[in-house]
Amino acid sequence: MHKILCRTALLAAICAVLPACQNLQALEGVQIQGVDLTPLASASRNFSEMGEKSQDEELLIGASTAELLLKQAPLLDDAGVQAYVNQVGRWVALNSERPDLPWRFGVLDSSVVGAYAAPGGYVFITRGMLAQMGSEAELAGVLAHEVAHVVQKHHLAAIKQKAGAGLLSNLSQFALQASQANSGGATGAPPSTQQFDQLVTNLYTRGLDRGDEYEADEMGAVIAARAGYDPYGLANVLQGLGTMKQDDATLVTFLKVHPNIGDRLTRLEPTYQYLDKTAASGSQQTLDQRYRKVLSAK
Amino acid sequence: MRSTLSAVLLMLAGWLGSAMALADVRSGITVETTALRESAGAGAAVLQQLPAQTRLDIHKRQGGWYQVQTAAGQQGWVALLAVRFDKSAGAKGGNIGALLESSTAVEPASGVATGVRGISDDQVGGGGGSGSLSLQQLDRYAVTPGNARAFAQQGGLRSQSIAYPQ
Repeated sequence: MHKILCRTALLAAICAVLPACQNLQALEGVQIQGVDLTPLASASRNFSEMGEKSQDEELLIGASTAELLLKQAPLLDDAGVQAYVNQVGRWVALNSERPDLPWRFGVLDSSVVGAYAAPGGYVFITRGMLAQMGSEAELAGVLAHEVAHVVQKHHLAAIKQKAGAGLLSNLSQFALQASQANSGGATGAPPSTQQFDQLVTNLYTRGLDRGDEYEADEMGAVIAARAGYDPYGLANVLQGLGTMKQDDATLVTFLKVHPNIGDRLTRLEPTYQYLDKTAASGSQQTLDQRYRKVLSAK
Repeated sequence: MRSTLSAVLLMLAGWLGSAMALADVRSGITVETTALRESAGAGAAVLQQLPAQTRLDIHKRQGGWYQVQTAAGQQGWVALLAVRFDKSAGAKGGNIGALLESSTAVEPASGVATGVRGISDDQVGGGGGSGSLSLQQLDRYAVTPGNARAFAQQGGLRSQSIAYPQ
């Protein structure tokens, strides 16, 4: 399994290779801490091959995206809550189709209601969202929705579609400019970084296609049930958010980037009817005590 | 001194507990014609058919079912997805929220929610590299699959194989 690296470290490493010929093809056969950079090289040789991005590329794009999200809100300074969310999230992810990704879950110190996925196994949830929930099954339901986005590569596909063939050359430029910045040459963000950041920012402020959201709801309910949780956790969170004042400043973006909550619940009906039959013999835990204990322990 | 603090905390806990109990009763409205049943389950006896737009008090949830009471005082169970919480019934009971808020003292100086919602043109690229440090911190919080499995077992969570519906 590949070790995920922070973008800067990986890009700095790529930099060491790039100046030789200023060409991504120099990456052929290069491995940096277990991350095979050959796909970057071959994709640069033939852009038609970009349709199939390797997991390494997904991880690189994911780390860049996660880093950008983390610039907007810091991680909550609470190791207990962070560990708990990672345990729930990792367990949920182990019950998905991509159990072997290097999953990372983080609680953002923001009162905004939100949960976000990034390619490669990054999932974030805000303190504001945690505050709206009352059980581990609800947390698992929301995390499972985000895990489903990663399983289906929804964000990766959207980034690919918007960036087109230019993305890889942008990434290579990140590397080059990062090295220049390190040697004290450049100041501020290089243009290509801004381009990528803008693209990702647009994606996260406008949201995915509605179809992707409905799909993540349906898959999320199933994944939570597989993990032994009461699958209605997700529906219950949605019910709760639907009760909040819809012009509440902390909820505005959530509503903007997701389909109408009533529609989402209606769309979930067949999935829940299915789960009522197929998941009935499961453990169906809600674990509200454990949730409250962790979140109130200080 | 310490015992006084403990007493205060206990009182606070008691107060929160009662607040939580109160917050548990919520108002809901049916969004479609639905059966009021004797117990939580599709096979339970039907007490009456409730038309759409029926107002209900919701007492608790059990799986996909709410235990409710009608305006006429009849109690029973309705399917969760046939009901929406009543927005006019006021703010959501956020006891966990209150606890979280008080535990994390740092709020944006403006008092207006920012965070991820604050992703905006002027902020992008101006973060000064705190993102990569946070990324390293994030890695430190990660848990292994083995740890996650043990955690699940402690909670009585059992994996089951379920295909996605077609």
